[in-house]
Amino acid sequence: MTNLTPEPVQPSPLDDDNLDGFTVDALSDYLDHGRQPRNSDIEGSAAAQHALAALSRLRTVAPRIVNADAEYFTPKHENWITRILDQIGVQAHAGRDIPIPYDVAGAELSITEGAVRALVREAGDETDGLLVERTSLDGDLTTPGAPVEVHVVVSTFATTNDARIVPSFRERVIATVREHTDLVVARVTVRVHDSDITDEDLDDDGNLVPR
Amino acid sequence: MVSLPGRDSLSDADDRTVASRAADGDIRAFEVLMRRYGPLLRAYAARIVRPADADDVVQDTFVTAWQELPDLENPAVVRSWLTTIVTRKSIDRLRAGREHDSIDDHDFHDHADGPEDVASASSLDEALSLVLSSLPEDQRRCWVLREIAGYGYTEISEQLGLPVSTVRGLLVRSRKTLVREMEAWR
Amino acid sequence: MNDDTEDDLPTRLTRLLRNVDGVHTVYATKSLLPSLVGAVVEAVRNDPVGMHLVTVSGDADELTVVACIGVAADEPATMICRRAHDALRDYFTDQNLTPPTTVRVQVGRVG
Repeated sequence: MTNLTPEPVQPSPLDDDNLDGFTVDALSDYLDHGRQPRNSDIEGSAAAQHALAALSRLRTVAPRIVNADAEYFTPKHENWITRILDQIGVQAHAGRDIPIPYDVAGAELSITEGAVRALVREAGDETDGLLVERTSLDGDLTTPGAPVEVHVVVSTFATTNDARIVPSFRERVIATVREHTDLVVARVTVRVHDSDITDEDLDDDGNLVPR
Repeated sequence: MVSLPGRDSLSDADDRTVASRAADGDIRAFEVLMRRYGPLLRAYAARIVRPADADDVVQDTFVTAWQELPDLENPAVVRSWLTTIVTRKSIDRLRAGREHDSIDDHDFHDHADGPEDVASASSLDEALSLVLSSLPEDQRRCWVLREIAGYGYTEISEQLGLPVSTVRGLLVRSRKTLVREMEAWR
Repeated sequence: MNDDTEDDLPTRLTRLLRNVDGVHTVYATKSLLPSLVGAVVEAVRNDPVGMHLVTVSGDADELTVVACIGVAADEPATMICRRAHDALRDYFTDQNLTPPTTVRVQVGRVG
């Protein structure tokens, strides 16, 4: 062993000499229990109070330490994100297979439920003022011609005029599903915050009418 | 290509909105979550497993997150939910004993630079981060599981395969070291 | 010169699909999640050789071809899907191969 020069040691409230006979372990437990039941020995010791205050400060700082680390860990390469994304994006949440009719022997064509839901979300992305949060397709998707319902939950921005935006979003949903699938869309429900807007709320031109 | 150029609104949206979208199957929203919390989870994992293994743990975390997101009842708490998963995955990794000698730590900031670095730290957080790195592995793991993950003594003992008394001893030592550094900054 | 000779049938079909109008991605037909490790996904991303994106199964008398594709949004997905199917089937005819009994094409993403 080489000679190690001892580092200058600064006094700490958790040094054994500064604990007034208490242990860090016991004081930590006391702190963990919200200083209950009240221990008058601990509460009456200035040294123990200093130690408790220090432990408590450390606890407050703890989450910030890992946050500070995060800066060092910002990825240098995009790789780690893309290599996960490429596959899970399509393989997971694919849902049911929606048949694409084709009159050729041995042809089994389909579009996934997940792909159609993504189309609905993108219809929202193309509509200024709202963001699609949840989508679902209800009905027998696997039988060609069976009626299906599209349900969408959206959030709108504070400045958005729901009455103007929602009908146009609905139109986009219907149009994109019609364009890319052979689904028969019987109903589209758009839930904005807590209010549903369904066919009954719209006039023949697709405008919102008050109930 | 699944990774899409996105509108700014999604990356600016709050956790609840982004996590809802991701739970709905939107890979772009999931990408926003990965960018938002990937570095934090890596930093976190690197405190429990070796830095070189942190990448794998984080990847594994996100794959699991993607599968389990639809079952997350309150998307607003996605950050702490991800932290829970990364803790579990980190411990799994430790247990699997796959922490054999690693060749390539170079991509990561080297935390084990010693006291000079602590002296040059520009903030308390950074100084403590460096001190945490200089702690022996077991001390550091116990402290992170207790103070960041919120595990109890028994849980830590079970997860790390150490007696509770040892866990307590390790925690005392890590707290002493960290408090000493913290107080030096006051 | 035929530079296809070195490649197996699934690889050739994958390349063929990539050149079909409106098809922008050919995805793996088997879920990779259980074996998701960096190296495997990397392989899929950078180079499909060795990874069977298009699956061909069965024997010569009863072949099944399975593909999963991502398509552009500027044409109906149904149309591109049928086009992709036709391209696969035509390949067998053009090469004087026994046509597959089943050709399954799934659209996994639009846009």
